[in-house]
Amino acid sequence: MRLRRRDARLLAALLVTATVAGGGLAIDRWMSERSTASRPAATSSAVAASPDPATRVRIAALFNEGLRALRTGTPETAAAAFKAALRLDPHLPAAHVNLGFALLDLDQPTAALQAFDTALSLRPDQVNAYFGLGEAHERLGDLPAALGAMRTYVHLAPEDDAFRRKALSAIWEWEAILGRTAAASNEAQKPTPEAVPVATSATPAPAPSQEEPPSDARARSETMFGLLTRPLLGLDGTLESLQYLREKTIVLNVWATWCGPCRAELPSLQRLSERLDPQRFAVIGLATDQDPDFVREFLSDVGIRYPNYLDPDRDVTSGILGVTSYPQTFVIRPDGSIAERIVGARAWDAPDMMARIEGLSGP
Amino acid sequence: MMKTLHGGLRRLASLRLTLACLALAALIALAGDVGGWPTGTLIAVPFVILFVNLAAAIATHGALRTQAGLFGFHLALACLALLAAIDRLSGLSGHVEVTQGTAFDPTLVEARIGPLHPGSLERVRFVQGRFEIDYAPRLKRRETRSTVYVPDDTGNWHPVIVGDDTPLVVGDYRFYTSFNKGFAPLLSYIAADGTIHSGAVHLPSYPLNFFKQGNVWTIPGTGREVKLWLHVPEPVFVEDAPWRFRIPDDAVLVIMDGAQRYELRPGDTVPLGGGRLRYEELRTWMGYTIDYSPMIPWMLAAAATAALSLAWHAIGKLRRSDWDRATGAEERAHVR
Repeated sequence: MRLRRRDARLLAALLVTATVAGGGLAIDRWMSERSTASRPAATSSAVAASPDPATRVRIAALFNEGLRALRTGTPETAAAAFKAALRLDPHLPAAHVNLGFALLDLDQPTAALQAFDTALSLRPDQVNAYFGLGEAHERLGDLPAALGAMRTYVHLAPEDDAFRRKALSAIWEWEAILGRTAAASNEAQKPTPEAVPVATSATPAPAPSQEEPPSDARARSETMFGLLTRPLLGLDGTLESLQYLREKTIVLNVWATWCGPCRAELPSLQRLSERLDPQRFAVIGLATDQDPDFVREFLSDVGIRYPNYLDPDRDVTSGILGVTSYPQTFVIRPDGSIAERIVGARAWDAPDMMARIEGLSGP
Repeated sequence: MMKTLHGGLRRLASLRLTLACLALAALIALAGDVGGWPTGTLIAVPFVILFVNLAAAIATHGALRTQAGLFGFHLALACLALLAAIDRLSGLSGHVEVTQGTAFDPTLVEARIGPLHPGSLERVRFVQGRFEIDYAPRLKRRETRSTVYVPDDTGNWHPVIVGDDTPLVVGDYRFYTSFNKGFAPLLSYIAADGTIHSGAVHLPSYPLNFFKQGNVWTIPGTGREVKLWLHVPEPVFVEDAPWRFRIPDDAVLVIMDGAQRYELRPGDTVPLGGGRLRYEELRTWMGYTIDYSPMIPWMLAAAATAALSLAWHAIGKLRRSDWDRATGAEERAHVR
């Protein structure tokens, strides 16, 4: 005898439909009662069509236009489109990154660097920004910074990323160049004065600190002359070079208002500037913010009175000083060489730190 | 003809397609949330395919005919997939800032809106009142109590307290307070022709941007920009102690018009751009996240139904006697 089971589909379908509909309704009511329910008559009536988010649509169109232009090799158009999109919404990391690549194509590495930096400040895990950062640093001749950025890219990028191989090739190439440079520097440590053009001061140079490798200090010393002669943007909007400080040891603090550790160390830098001998030392701030007025007001709020300048395009901080993290402080001797590069915040008015800085200036 | 249709349905009911849909949905979700790709409502696509796949399975698999629990499970899953697709296509997710003492302005909302979104924020009405936020040491934000005033059916306004977990529900839109809030100087500008413009300038979120309480403001009718900075002599918060968000009593509004710099206290007036600017008072603004996910309760019910159906099926299997099993085996043989 064969027993056939009853077809239970209809019953199950009814049960499921009733449970989903009834249960959903009950949950909806329960949620409404639990929450601060407020249903004014005006809002519970028939609803109108949803508003068209015109700005969003415009941004998307500009973004796509920029991408198309990048792909078709017209970076001017791409840069213009991404800039227009960013004017509508400056908080789009992807637009900043693509603007950076367009600027690289336009051979504007400094502006590109700023675009990649902005993208990363908006979204630290914007992986392709590190790739662009590496390329921009390379164009600016800062291979250690380029290497750091590209290594970060390789670290964060997925295994099957299309640009991973290219990044690895760049890393190998840059490591090889830096290796050769280091070897050349070691050779240069032999007493050949012409190989170290800035070390001509009669003042015996103090031993470089552990935070700045000797070869780096020498390599940068020449560019420090560029820093001292280069006009910097003052907080009153005028340009001024640091030439007037050439007889002094300069404590140059690179910072930004958005950087917490930078803000934390500012009061101690102010105290340091008050305690150091003003005939021999000068404490200077170099902010990477965009707006001099806001920086001036901020400094006024926190009681900072030592001179501060602005480097909104990061030409000096990234291009000359090779700064990729904040804060960084440089002790620059009167001859323009870097006596010490200190990464991170410090208690600058602590006795040992003051003694260290005073020791760096020479007799 | 029927045979071809049945064959097509059998192919649509493939378990591989089910797995592919689930994988695709996971991929799109990850690309949107982790990768930051603009996936938008793309996630609705795998859910729609999953619905078709499950519906085809229900229509063609003979085993579901007699196993009510399994049938219910598939039907509930199909419902869940369809509801999820509808939810994403009709949903809205956005944010807005509202100045204390002013009405919610839907034109200021920035939102991601599904193409089938049936609602309109134009109909949402509420006025922002004062708010309180408690902070634990080290600037850890605790409870937010934001008072908003909502009109009832008779046109009277009544206060409602909104928080991070206590939404204001208006026409299925849910408004939650967010970490975003700050100060807003209220300004009145009397133009040269006597026209008066009033408005508030939202300064960056506080205390997150306590170091950057500045913004740019365009003088009405001139296109000329001036900069504003709120100077707070005494800190509003102490980092290592509990505190409550408050409007500073001694704040000074700095107006920078080129080289000109003015310091204003509430009630002060300065000549600006051919007219006169009056700093009325310092207010606050509150940031809200807006969510419209109309299918959530039904999705929860469908998920619960699927789980119950599966449990019913599993219990039936476990409780079945040897005789039942033998009959079942015979029946399966018959079905084939």
